[in-house]
Amino acid sequence: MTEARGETAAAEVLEALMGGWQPGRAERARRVTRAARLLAWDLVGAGSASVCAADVGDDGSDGLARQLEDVALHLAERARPLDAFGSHRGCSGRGWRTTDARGAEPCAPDAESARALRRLVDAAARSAAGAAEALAWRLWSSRCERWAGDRGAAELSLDGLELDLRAADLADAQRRSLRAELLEERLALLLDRGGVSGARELVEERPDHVGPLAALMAWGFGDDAVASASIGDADPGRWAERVRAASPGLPVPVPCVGGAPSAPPDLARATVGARAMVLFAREETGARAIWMETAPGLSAAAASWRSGRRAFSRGEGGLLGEVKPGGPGAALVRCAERPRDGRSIDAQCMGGAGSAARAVLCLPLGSARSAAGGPDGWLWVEFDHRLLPSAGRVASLVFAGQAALARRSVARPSAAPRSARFVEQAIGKLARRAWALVPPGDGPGRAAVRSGGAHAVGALRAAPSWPARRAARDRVAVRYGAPIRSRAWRGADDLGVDRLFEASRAGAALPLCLGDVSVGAIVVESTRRDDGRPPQVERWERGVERAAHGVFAAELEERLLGAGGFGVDAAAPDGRALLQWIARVASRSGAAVVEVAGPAGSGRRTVARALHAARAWFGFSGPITHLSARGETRALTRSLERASCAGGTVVLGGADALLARDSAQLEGVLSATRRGGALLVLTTDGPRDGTGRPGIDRFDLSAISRRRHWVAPIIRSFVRSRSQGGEEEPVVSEEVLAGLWRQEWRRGARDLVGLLRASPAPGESTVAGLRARAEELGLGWRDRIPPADATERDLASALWSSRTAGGRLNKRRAARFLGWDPATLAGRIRALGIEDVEGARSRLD
Amino acid sequence: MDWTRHVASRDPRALSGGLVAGDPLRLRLLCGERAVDRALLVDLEDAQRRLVERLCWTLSGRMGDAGRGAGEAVLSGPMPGDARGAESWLRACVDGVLDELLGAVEGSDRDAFALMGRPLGVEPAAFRRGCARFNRGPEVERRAYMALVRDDLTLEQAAVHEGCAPLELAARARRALERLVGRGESDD
Repeated sequence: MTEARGETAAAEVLEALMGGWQPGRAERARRVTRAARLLAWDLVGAGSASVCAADVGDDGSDGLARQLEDVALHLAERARPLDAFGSHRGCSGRGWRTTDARGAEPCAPDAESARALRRLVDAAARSAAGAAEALAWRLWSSRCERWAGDRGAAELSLDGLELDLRAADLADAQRRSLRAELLEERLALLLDRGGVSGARELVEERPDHVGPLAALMAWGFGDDAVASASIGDADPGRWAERVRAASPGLPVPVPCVGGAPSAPPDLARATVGARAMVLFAREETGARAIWMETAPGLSAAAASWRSGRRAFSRGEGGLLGEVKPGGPGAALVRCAERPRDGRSIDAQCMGGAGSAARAVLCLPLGSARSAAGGPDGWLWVEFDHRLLPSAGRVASLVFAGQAALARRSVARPSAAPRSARFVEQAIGKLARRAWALVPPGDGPGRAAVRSGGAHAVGALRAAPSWPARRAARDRVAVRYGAPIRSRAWRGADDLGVDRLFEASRAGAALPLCLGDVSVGAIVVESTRRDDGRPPQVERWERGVERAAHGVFAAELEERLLGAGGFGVDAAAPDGRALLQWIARVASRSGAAVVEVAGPAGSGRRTVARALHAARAWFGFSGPITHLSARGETRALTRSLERASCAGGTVVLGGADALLARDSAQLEGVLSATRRGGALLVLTTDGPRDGTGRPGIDRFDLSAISRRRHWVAPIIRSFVRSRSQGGEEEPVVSEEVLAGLWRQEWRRGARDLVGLLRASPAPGESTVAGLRARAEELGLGWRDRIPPADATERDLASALWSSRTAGGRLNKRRAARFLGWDPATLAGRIRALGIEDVEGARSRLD
Repeated sequence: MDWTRHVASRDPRALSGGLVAGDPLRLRLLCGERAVDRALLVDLEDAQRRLVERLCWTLSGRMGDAGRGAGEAVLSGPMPGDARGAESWLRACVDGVLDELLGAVEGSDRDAFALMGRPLGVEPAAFRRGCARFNRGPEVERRAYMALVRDDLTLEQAAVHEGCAPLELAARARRALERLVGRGESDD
């Protein structure tokens, strides 16, 4: 099998090297080499990242939302603004690095990465496959609001979500899972605000809820089922002590290194889904939380619980156990009787690193709630995802789980088999969710990032595994894994993760392709024997392809916004279609001819520029050249030949006449472009006979007055381009936005942009000022769209533009856009039957 | 990389925060990169921990003008003030840590050697000793072995990569393998 080439070649070479050795020694050499190979790969993958989602109790579906969620997490966690990707990627020896324009790599989540996450969440929400997925993404959206500090909006979103969750047609398991997440999110919101009593009330109202934060609260307020616990806050101020304790020989002069107070609340807000690390274990006397670590956001609450920890320590003679998410494994259990070793520094480091901990694993040790009413046992661990890159990390989790189970099985032997199954399932889901994005590269040992020829979508991971490299390079799905007793899998073994971790069974590397361009690979590893079968791999591949387009469209939208003058409402069907068209065309290699049709002012040249920019991100270099098709054919052919020789993009304006000429002339012109290898973009006034030319991919742009929902993005793009280098993007008032929204814009977006250019910065403009300036420019101004003139599309556009973050229509706001009173709008809505966002969206197709 | 900015900022608070809160300074990546470049077999966790300790110790020893409060302390001494200097300084620290680990034969029952070796039936202590011998061997031999085992190259590819004849590369790799396996070592 080709997949096993690397392993086979290495094995053959190894056998050759051992010529003349005794069989026993040769066998030992094989095993040592295999171990050395794993150790070496661990080093190669030192900078890699895996992400596991917060929920492991799901049904394991492999939808787009899941993949995007992981990509979104990657982005947020790696704290890399999207701008850091693309042209500033560079290669350093055999390693890789990503820097921004200044050569710096941001280390903490900032506003930019939060925006990036939000964009991706929005993109995923738009692509949600079903009601459950859509609701899950709205929950993410609410989280984004919370992390951004907009707690009011987050609360409103949660309210709306709760109502919709009740009404949604979901399976019971999905509903329970979403409800549990929603409650946890409410608790997190309350605790972030310091509303401990509110959180307590919420927990008491929902005694059946058994989430980790709820358990933390239950314990904190004296739930008898949870006997005691220990809590460590996130105070890096104890760092020097730990250095001293771990390495007594080192003269640490003063505790100055860790002089910082507890991590700021901002970091807690930035924490992605991870809040606490709790190990509960049931013993004869009842459930016991033997270790807890809280994220910085909970530090304030932790202060009142420290006395409990001290009492616990006194009563029990020290901590019973300790979860160590650092050290060689992501989680280890250490007993009190064992001497403290140097590894504890890692545990404490992780404990103090709540802000950096991103991924969450919850291992339910037994049933979620025992007959006694307390948690039977969970291992709730949060990781810095960078510390969980490999099967080795997962294996250590198994050790932790097994240690906890061993402890429990002493007390209740009968519970062990069932719990073991839980652990196995949870680990399986974790491993299955350990996605990794790798840039394509065929260098040995480590995937290299090419600054020109490869465009990484979302996040980068330098993965050492050859299946990922091969998948990215050859654009084929590569299956690998443990020896699965199936004819289809025979001979496809590679890494043999089962030898490292008994439960590992299957893996697949899936190419991440956009058109002809391979942009990376996604690695899926599973501990379940039945995962990764060919039908599953095919399904994953389809999902990955959708994810690639979705993520790229989100990135493209943001980049185009930043470029200025080009706004697109990517959430609307027409905006999404445009972005996908650009992605499809831009990722094609070689010469191509496309047509952008639309009336004057509809943004044809801007779309052409966007195509050119998108091609540059895919590594197709060359300038953009603007030509006019009006004139003599021979001269045009010469100009085209000259321009297309440089590659890049040639924009041929006014191509209607050219397309109307006879096919021989047209073919002569087009072949000139093909010889040069450029992308030829023909801009025309619109369809001549309703059909396009064969072989010419066409996109039709409508007049801006038919897509008023794009007005806000255009303004935003303009504002952003003006504020380049500024600290903050100015906020355009609702009144100004509504005023601009309802104008006729007879000459299209150029009128809108012209008015904006001639006016003060939009953030400082007033409606009166804009009106005066518009009248000066002869553009006219109207305070309302006459109801008689309003088309169904105008109404749909107003309603669509008025939607809230929670996905509801705001009719009052829509009426303001139209310049109407709410009653007038209500009457028209009744007539048209547009009652929800989906209804508005469908009218915009 | 980001840590150069942190180190060059000479702000101990920012630096210590960076060291403690996860690994935003990518010390782990740095350790891994250097170990890969030098073709060493070391426990990455151990290397990272030692690097953090070393940085804490070194930086704390260099901090503080007497008249300043802790929060206002500024890194002093030979600390590089620019990003390039900080990078080479930190790389030297990493090399120092790796040098420390070259001959390390002691470890815990949960270190990488145990984690990687035990499931394969390789006794951790013996694996540790083998790796120590391997690490102390000539770099060309280590690189030859890694090219074949870690990078999955064929003999010919590896020879081209290392700039020697295939037979010479095989001989180097064999010597490295002999060190790794040892004589008289047993897993039983």
